[in-house]
Amino acid sequence: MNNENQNDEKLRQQQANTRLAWVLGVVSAAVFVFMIYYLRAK
Amino acid sequence: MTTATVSTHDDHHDHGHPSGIKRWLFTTNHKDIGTMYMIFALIMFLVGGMMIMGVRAELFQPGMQLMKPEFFNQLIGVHALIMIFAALMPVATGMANWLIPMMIGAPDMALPRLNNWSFWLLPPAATLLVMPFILALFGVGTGAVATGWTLYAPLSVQGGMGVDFAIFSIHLLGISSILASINVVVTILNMRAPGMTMMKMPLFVWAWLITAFLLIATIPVLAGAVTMLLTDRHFDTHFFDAAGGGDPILFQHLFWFFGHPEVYILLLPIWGFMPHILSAFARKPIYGHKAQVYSFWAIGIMSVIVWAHHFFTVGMPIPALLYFMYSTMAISLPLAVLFFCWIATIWRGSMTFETPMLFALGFVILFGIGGLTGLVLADVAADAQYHHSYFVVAHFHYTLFAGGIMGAMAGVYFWLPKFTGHMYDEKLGKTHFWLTAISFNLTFIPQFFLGLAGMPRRIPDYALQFTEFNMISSLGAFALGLSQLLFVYIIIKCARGGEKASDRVWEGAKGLEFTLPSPPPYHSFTTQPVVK
Repeated sequence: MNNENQNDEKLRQQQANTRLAWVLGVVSAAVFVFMIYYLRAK
Repeated sequence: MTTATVSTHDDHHDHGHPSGIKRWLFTTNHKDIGTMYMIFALIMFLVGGMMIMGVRAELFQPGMQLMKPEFFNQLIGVHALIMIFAALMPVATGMANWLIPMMIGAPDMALPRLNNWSFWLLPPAATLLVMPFILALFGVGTGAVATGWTLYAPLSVQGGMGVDFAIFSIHLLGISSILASINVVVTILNMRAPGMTMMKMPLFVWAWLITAFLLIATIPVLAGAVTMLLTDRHFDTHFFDAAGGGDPILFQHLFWFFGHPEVYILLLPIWGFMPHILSAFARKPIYGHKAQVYSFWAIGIMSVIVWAHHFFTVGMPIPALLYFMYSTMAISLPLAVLFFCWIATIWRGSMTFETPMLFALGFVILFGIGGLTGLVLADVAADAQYHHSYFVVAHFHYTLFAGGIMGAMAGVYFWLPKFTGHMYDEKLGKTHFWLTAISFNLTFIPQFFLGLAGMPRRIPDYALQFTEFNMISSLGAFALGLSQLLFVYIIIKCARGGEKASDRVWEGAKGLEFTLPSPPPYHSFTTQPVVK
């Protein structure tokens, strides 16, 4: 039972890590795309 | 802060990790990856160093002796790119990999496979950067990028295929840095031990958190700028081509919007080392923990609003010049807070001067000179005289060699016994410090005078009046280069054996990492410590 709880907690942690990593990755990609898009007609 | 209950009952519970080459290719272990980052950084440090030995040999006396001007320009540009992207950044990332999980009480980095990929992007990127030199030997292309590391348009639009190699290399290095930064942010925000609040985090971890945010925000700007450069070169766009309605100055703005924060990206992790080292060898608690955290934040935020001081002479409106001058000078305020905190940490301490402390004190003094000469350059009127002179070269080597490399060496010497389980040779370490400090000053003090006298940078030949100072500078550079071989020897000797290091390593050392054995178990904290 204790092991199952630990595994659940580990999984929750991994999911939280992946979510935050995606958010940061998308922010980074958005800066790249927005900059070129914004400057293309300048 | 660092009182902890630590359990390492399953120290070597390592799931039968592979051995040999597979261990290094497929590893997801933060310590293995940290080690690879640092070995890579050391190799590239020597490669970049050899390139600049060629430059200093050419500058030993006036006239052209050893190489063509084009090759000279290539050596300078690739030296800078290698030292920044392939030496200083990887050593900081290597230390982050090793230390952050141990300092916050985590078993590993949050995203171990991403971590592996972040590292393995680096060797191909470095190969791309250096490959044009080799291709030129076989008659392919005209050699490596010859624009300097700044890749200014229109020179970079017109340059040979070395520019394309540099662009792709920067893309790979950028992806690697962003992935590593994402990993650092996620690890720090999600994986801290119970009880370790943000304000209890060690200063090295804080410095890296801000560094990682800076990288995530600014590397895409550089990636965008070089992508636009690539499309200008090959796909008929005119972002930076005045004839087609573009603006070459736009490239300078984009480049330095990344480039100035990059200075702090290189230096923040090193500043993060200092309180740990100074406090350990002064046997006193860190002075102004919160003040240093706030200063890191202030410097990080201000670093993205001062970029145009790198090209004051380009012809900006007066209000813009004034804004960038004052905002640049304002950065010295939080930096001064850091300096005063460092000095207050060692004030009336029971100091001993082991190698890490020598490097840390050398860092404080020499980086101080780098900072103060930066204030001179921040002055618009003075900069009109010193821009593109050797004064600038001397200034940024005081910040990036004395500040960056010597600071990194302080950190490496401080934690090396923890990493390897052996003490390094203290006598050799001290010899390395004195050789480095003396030859560094011998190299770069003359360059301040050369700059003040009007010698321009990135020029392979010079007027006769500059001969003596250039000779002294070259001799210093050769000595500086040779003394780094001693560093390599000390590290190899320490990794192979020596006196056993205790868990705490240094009498005054504090922090969760020093509660682990030396060397630490494969997974740092399999049971999370509780920080009180």
